[in-house]
Amino acid sequence: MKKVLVAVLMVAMVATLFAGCKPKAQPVTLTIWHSWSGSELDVLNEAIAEYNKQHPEVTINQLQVPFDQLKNKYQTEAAAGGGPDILFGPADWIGDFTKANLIAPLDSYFDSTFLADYVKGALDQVKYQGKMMAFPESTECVALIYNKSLVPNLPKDTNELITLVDSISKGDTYGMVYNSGFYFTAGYFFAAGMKLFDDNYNAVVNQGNGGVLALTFLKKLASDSHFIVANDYGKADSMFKEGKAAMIINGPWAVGDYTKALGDKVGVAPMPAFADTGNPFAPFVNTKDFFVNANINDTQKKAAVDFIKFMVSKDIEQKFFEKAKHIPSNTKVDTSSDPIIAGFLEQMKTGVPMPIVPEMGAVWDPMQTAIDSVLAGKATPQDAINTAQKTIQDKINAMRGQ
Amino acid sequence: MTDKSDVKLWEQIRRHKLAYYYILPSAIVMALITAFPILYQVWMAFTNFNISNLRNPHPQFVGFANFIKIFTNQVPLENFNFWRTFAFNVVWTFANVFLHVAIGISLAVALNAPRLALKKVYRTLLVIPWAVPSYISALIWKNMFDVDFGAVNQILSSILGHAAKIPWLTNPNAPIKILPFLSYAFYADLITNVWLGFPFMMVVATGALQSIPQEIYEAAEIDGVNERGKFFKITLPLIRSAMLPAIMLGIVWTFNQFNVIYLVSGGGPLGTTEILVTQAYKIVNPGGLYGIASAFGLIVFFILLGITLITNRVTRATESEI
Repeated sequence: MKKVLVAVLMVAMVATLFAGCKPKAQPVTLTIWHSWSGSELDVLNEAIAEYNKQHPEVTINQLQVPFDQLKNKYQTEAAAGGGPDILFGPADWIGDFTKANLIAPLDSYFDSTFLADYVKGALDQVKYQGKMMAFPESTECVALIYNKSLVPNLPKDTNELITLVDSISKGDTYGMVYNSGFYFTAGYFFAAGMKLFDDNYNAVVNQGNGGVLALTFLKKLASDSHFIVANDYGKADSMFKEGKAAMIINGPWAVGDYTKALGDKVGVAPMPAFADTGNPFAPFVNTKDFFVNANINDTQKKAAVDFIKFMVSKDIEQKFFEKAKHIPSNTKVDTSSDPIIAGFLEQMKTGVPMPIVPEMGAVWDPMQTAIDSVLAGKATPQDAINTAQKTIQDKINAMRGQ
Repeated sequence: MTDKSDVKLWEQIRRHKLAYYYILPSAIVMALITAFPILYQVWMAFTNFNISNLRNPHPQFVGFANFIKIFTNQVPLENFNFWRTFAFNVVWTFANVFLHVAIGISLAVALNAPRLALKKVYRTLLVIPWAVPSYISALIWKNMFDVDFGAVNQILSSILGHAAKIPWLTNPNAPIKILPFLSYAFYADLITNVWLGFPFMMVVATGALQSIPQEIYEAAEIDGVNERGKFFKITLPLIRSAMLPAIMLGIVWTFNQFNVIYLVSGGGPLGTTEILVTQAYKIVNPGGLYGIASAFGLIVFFILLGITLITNRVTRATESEI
């Protein structure tokens, strides 16, 4: 009798264990790392809330990492087997990440009908060694952003720019805050004739006089007290927002916050042409993309891709466009009659596509050092560009294990 | 000889078997989290370990190539100069510790005056720099050193009556021409670290001062010793034994003061304020050169070992008298 009772109780207990188990979707947790801030972050949070309405079983943890640390943080953690499920960053990381096997190819997740809605150039840029290694969300390049109430007429070339800046600077208001980061000012290096790589992706930055011309030009700007020339994004950004600078070089991601601060006084136009050669400003044109971590299992990958598909859908890209001025990769997004986007699209016509090979990673810091040492008077433009050439090539050799 | 002592050791272990069983778990943990990483790093220092080896740890053995690259400044990284960094590190350490000790003792003596009102309030205020997490202070100082909008330049402007535009963190040139290797950023880092560092020395000195019996000063007064004589003949010799270990500690701390350098000047501009530990960090991140970084770490270890042995010898601080 006792034994029967025990058996009945056991069955009852085991049954209660299964009682809660209706056929329900497994809970999934996705982590995304990005460097969005301001309006971009607002849109991301909105998008996550909306996604959760459709998929209550998915928890999305987003982590904001400062842009200058994001690549290294991901690289270190993913190489050790960890890292987030999804990463958001520029296409020039593709080469490094693919080489170290840190990101998963995405070809099998997107069919041709889905891809038909996206800008072809953007999809081309994320292809590396024949595989689609990321999914583009937006396209970007830097251009001249100006405060219409402070700038009477747009300069045609750099000589006009200097005259204009000298005439509109008054007291606390500077004519231009010029970001001397290599990404921002690269357009003048290419306009001056500098090339980064030869056909085998060896460095050739000191061939010809392009680098020297561009560095000499930057030095001239820095010695003019009406320009603030500094490699300090935050400071440049806040000066423009506060109306203390009439012009700035920046990309579409910043315009959302500028229009919030200055309203319709914000204008965008191509940067003036480089007077020494007459060539137009040729900035890097790059896509910003979603990457999927190579370390995660197939279920996680599917969940991650599903979220990415949602993030690049027409509705969400429309929001990113309207609130944060991202130039959408989705052709269905309505961007007509937006003068700000028109300015960037105009600038893109003279831009150069950002190389996505791993060798590109060796370029940034040595070129920045060349710029900084010339601006500080520590090196002549010729010496600085020669040093940069050597460091870039050393880094490329180390990368290739030579 | 060696055989004999080995036998003796083994005998000892056998005799106190139970005690060794007790420490075995922690010994295993120590071996895993301390000894293994150190040995792994020594191995890495002789290979070309880089970012792609993190998952596939089969780098090539390169012998002493990493060390040679470091000593001949051939590391593929911008602004890398081992000898400049090392010399700067030494100057940085001694400039800081000298100021910490001088300011710390002066304040401790001043606050030790017998009939000073509100003594506790002053002491609390002066210890605040020490109580705030150093990275927060460092970030605040970094912003205060901004050339256009920083508090330091604004205060200087209002004192001088004209706009002071000292390029604290951006100009790699030297403001004092007879010290050509010390850029503006060195002084910014120095001010920050002195502000952060003197309270510790002050607290140690205060403790030592309070253990000096008042009678000695009274006796000196009767003998007609003036205030200066009292300080140099009584106070300093009597707090020496308490200060020396603190100074040694201060030297090692400052030599490795990562927070202030990395957060205030970031080693820049153009690497002029790089110290060894910030340089080691940069070799890994963004450099990705793990093999060279391990070799660099070993070099720093031997430098610190040398400094510790020398200071130990000079001060005999770790020698027990019992």
